[in-house]
Formats: sequence, structure tokens, C-alpha cells
Amino acid sequence: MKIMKGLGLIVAASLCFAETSFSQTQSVDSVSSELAKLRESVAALTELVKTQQQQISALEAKQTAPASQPVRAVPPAAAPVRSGTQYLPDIGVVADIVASSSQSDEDEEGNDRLSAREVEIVLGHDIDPYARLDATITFSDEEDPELEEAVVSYWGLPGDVKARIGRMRQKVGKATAMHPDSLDTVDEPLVVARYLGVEGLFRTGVELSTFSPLSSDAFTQELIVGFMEGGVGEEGELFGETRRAPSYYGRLVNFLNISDMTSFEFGGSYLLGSADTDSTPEVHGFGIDTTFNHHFNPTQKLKLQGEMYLQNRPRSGIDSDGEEIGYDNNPFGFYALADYRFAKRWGTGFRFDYVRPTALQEDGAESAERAYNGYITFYQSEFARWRFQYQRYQPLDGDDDNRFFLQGTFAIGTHKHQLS
Amino acid sequence: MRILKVLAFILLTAAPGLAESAKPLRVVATLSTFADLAREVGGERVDATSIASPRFNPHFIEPRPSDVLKLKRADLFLHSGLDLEPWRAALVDAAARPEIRPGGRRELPLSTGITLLEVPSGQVSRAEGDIHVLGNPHYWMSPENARIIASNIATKLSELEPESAELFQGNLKRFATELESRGAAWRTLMAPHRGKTVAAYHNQWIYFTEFFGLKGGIFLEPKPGIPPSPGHLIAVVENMKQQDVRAIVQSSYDPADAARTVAERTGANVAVVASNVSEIPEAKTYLDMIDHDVRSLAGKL
Repeated sequence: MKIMKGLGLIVAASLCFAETSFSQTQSVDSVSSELAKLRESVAALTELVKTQQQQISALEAKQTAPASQPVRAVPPAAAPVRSGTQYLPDIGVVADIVASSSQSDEDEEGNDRLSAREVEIVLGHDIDPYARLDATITFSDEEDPELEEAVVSYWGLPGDVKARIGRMRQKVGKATAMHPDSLDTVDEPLVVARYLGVEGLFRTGVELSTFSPLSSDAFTQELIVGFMEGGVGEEGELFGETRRAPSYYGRLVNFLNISDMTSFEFGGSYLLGSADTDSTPEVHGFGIDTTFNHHFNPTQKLKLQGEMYLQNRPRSGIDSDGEEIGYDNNPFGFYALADYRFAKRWGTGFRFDYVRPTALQEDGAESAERAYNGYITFYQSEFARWRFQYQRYQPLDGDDDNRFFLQGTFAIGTHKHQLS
Repeated sequence: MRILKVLAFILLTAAPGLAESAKPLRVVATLSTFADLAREVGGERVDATSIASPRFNPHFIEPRPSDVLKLKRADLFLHSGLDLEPWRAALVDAAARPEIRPGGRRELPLSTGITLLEVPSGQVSRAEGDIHVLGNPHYWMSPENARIIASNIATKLSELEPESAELFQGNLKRFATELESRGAAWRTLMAPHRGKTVAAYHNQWIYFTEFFGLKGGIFLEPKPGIPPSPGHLIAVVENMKQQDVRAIVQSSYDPADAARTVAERTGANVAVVASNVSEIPEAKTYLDMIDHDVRSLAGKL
């Protein structure tokens, strides 16, 4: 505005000057000459206004951007801590609702019904600068409440060792070390359910883990050793039911970082325990597992996984009723799984199960149980998932069964499973 | 002779320390952008790596055993300090080192000193999608915040290696000066577009748009983390037409279909920009990343 006023004054002054000159000389040539000069002045002033307008625009643009501040060495004080709530444990709930249907008439757990198969309440928090407590309590409309995990993790130990003490999922194999909501299928693989327990292996014990000196960015090797109370999970056949004398286990995991899109893991596990009440550790369990992961792009991913367990055990033993029972010397079982996440919200997969029974069977029985599973998964969000699974099950008695499962898994609160 | 023995003793005891101090500090960051800023400030005294591959959405990373090992061996762990990385806590637990746990000597939340935007008030619920309870965590997308992050890193590195403090502060000053200079150029480039509205796939660009005087508020996701639905996209199309929105911004890892559909129906342009260093080949460093994003968006508006 000031510039325009100034311009006006200058023009007016120039006009006055022109008038004075005209009146003084009263010649046409003088007038023309003055007019030409006037035009030049106006053109120059117009150009000046234009330039200054551009500068003003640039200054306006700069004005709204945050002003530069001197480099600070000390960050501002943190927000005041609210008392009490800071020390509450992280709490999460994971609900696993399953509807199942089969051709079998047996009134077994969950068969031909909709059930709240498992609701986990997960609690966890640091105890002090040295350790953390995590607990998982499970409820079900099929069985009594159960303490699945109550484990204290210690860090900062000598030799870069991490220790876990308490009730926990032992780091044996792949599937059994995962919480049910993290599995790729509705149920545990048959070999895990039969040998280690229908919900996998979780016992009270002590576990130590460390990375080997051979580890690098491209190749990681972790060694895990532990001992636990005797027995295995519910209905597991590997060890007997006695809890009195400990069982032992170890695992060596090798992980190859092929690229940021591809990885390969292979591991070996060993378990030693007792089949009966005398607690002599005469049963050896060997496991191998491989997992291949490949991302085709940020959304689409392929996972191939397989596990095999082999037992070495005496041919006879005493069961929980005190009766002598005959065993297969070297029963084994395995599963092979392929899982393909083909869209952000959809995945599909297939799993084949094969497992030989631990106890000797009557003549005429099949040599092994088999199952063929196909499934499709819908990821409603990060916190909810639906899965439909069909299973063609071939039991030992030869009466094949077609089973259907519909599973809904839902998580609320803070839900953080420890990395396996 | 005695003097020689003393000298030999001093040399023998000091040699490992000397060798140790010659090795660069191992800095492990959750995101590639944080690692890059550590390299800017730390120079040759820092060997910085990141956990989350920039090609993936940082919300959905599956840490590997090698990431646990990285943290076990890290001299400094950098992270957002907010709830951007839901996998971070389990990773820290697995690494089992007190120094990198929250509040530890070798841990640094980079949100210190950042003025956070979109901090929710009142009760928060997942019914609103995957909202971040501590505020929008994508703060590094503002060049001004990058300066603050770099300053935080310089302070921490100086604390861990005081003998290199002068180097770190010098690098910080150099970076800040270059950032200021490039920032002015970026602002000039974006000046003609001040006040324009930009649509986005996910709500992760607010710090970027605020810095350049752009407006946001239109998202292809109906709620954070929830994939676009046909009904919501119809509403987005109408909204964009009413407000004459000319550009849709998204990361390279966001699905392309929704933005493409909306762009076809509105005549808008899709700008695929980097939200982290090395997400795309043009984004080799932080400065390159912002430069690419500015030029790409300016060309689409």
C-alpha cells in the first residue's frame, strides 16, 4: 500500500513537473520529450513494484514455516508421571471361539458344537531392573481354568545368557512353542498333539538361551537348554504322567537371512524324560524343523514349514494305572505346511499330518494317523481373524472322518507374545 | 629397565581399549530413517543399521533372530519412542539387555523434544481403528523434526563417546545447515501449492503437509489400519471433487488399487512417495527422500 502511495506521489509529482515544464516552454517537442520520460519512469516503477511484490510473497511463505531454533543440547523435560497407573501390568485378552463339526458321534471336547475353546488373559510387566514377569491364564467352556504360563525372564546375565524360570511354553520345535492364536491352523499338528500334548508342551522349568559365537547378521545360531517337571502336555504320549523327576531338553536353531524378503530356518530339538513312574529317563525324543519365508511384495507372502519328531524308547513300560504297556521302539510323526497370504486380508494354506502311535496297537489297526487339512483365513483387522478349515482325518481304527472348523480369534488390550 | 616394564604394562593394558575405541559405535535403529540420521551425525564413528526393512509397513514387521542379535550387540538403540513399532517391546525382551530397555543408558527414544500432532484426548478405543494413543508417530517427515532427531542423536552419541563429541556436533551443524538450505528450496517449490488439500492412503503425512502449508484430512482408509471399502471410496471421491483435490499420496508398500480407482474417478494424480529412507531407490538419504517427495508431490498438485 505504501508503495502504491509512493508511486502515486511520484506520478503526481512527475505530472506537476510536466505541467510546469509545459507552461514554461509551451513547445510541442518539449511536451513529447517529457511524456516519453514520464512513460519510462512509470515503466521502471511498475517493474519495481512487481519485484517487491514477489519478495513479499516469498517472505509470507517463509513466515508460516516454523522458525529455526538454535541447536539444543538438552531436550525439554518429560511430561509428569502419573502415579499408580504406570506400574499396572500390560493386560491383554485373546479369545478363541471355535465351531466344529464332524461325522464322528463321539461327544468329545468341542465336537459338533460352538465353544469358547480358549480365552487367554495375558499379563506382563517388568519386576525390577533385572527381570520381567509374564503370566497367561486360560479359561474355557470345555475345561477348568488353567495357568498356562507364569514365567520370570532374567536378562543381563553373564555370558549373554537369557534365563526363563517358571511355567512356560518350552522352546522345542516350532508349533508347540507358539501360542494357539499364533498358529497357522485351527488345531495343533497331529504329531504335536499326540506326542507333546493337545495344546502343545508347557511345563514348569528353567530354560537358558544364548547366541553362539558363530552368529552374524546373515547367519544366526541360538542354543537353548532347559529342564522341566516330568510329563508332557495333556494327552501327550512322549513321556509318562509323573511329574516328580525332571525331563530335559535342548534346541539348536539356525537362521539364514537370505534377504529382507526371504529367510530360512532349520532347527534340531532333543528331549529326554521318563515314560513311567520310576522316573528313569529312558525316552529320547528327537525333532527337526524347517521354515522358509518369502515375501513376493509387502502384502503377499509364502511360508513353508515342516517338523518331524522321532522317539527312541524301550519296548515296554508301566502306564499310569500300573499296567504293563507295549511301545513302538521308534515311533515318529511329521507335518508339512504351506501357507500363502495372497492379499492384505486373505490367506490360504494346506497341512498334511502323519503320526505313528507311541503305544502298540491291536492287529488290524492302521500304522499311522493321517490328516489332510485345507484352510482359508480372513483377517478382519490386526486384532481379529476368521479361519475356516476342512480336515480329512484318517484315524487308526480306519473310520475316516470329515471335520469342519470355523474359528474366530480376537484380541483386545496389550497383546504381546514373546518372540520364539 | 623398570621404565620399559612400566611402559610395556601401560601399552598392554591400554591396547585393547585403544582397539575398542577405534571401532565405530554400533547403532541399531528401528527404522531406516533413524539409522540414516545417525550416520549423518555420527559419520565414520558410527555403524548404523535398522531392523524394519523400509520396503515394509513399519507397523507390521516380523523381527528375526538376527534382529535380536543386532540388539544384543548394539551400543545404541534408536526408536520412535511412541507406539509406531508394536513389535519393539518383544524384541527388546528377547535381546535381554538392561541397557537397551526403556530408560537404559544405551536406549534413545527419538520423540524427545518433538511437538506431537493428533494426540488423542479422552478415551481411546480400537473402534476408531489402529489409532496411536501417544500421537501421530510419523514425525520424522517434517524437516524441522529431523533437525531435532539429529540433535537428540548427537547428544546421545556425545554422551557415549565424549572424545568424539566435537565431531558429532560438527556433523550436526553441517547437517542442520544443509537441511535449512534445502528446506528453503523445498518451501519455494511448494509455495504455489500452499493451502491445497492432499488426500492420502493412510494418515502418516501430517507432519509433512503441516511443514509445507498443505491440508490433509482425506484418507482412503475409513479408519487407520482398516482397508478401504467401496462405500468409503465413493465418499472420498465426492469429497475430493468438492474440494478440488488434485493429488493422492501413498507409500510404496500401500496397495495401489484404491488410489488408482479414486484417481480415475476424480482426475487426481497418485504420488507414490517414500516414508522412510531406502524405501525407493531415489530415497538414499533423508535429504534425498524429502527432496524426492517434495518434487514428486509438487509435480502432481
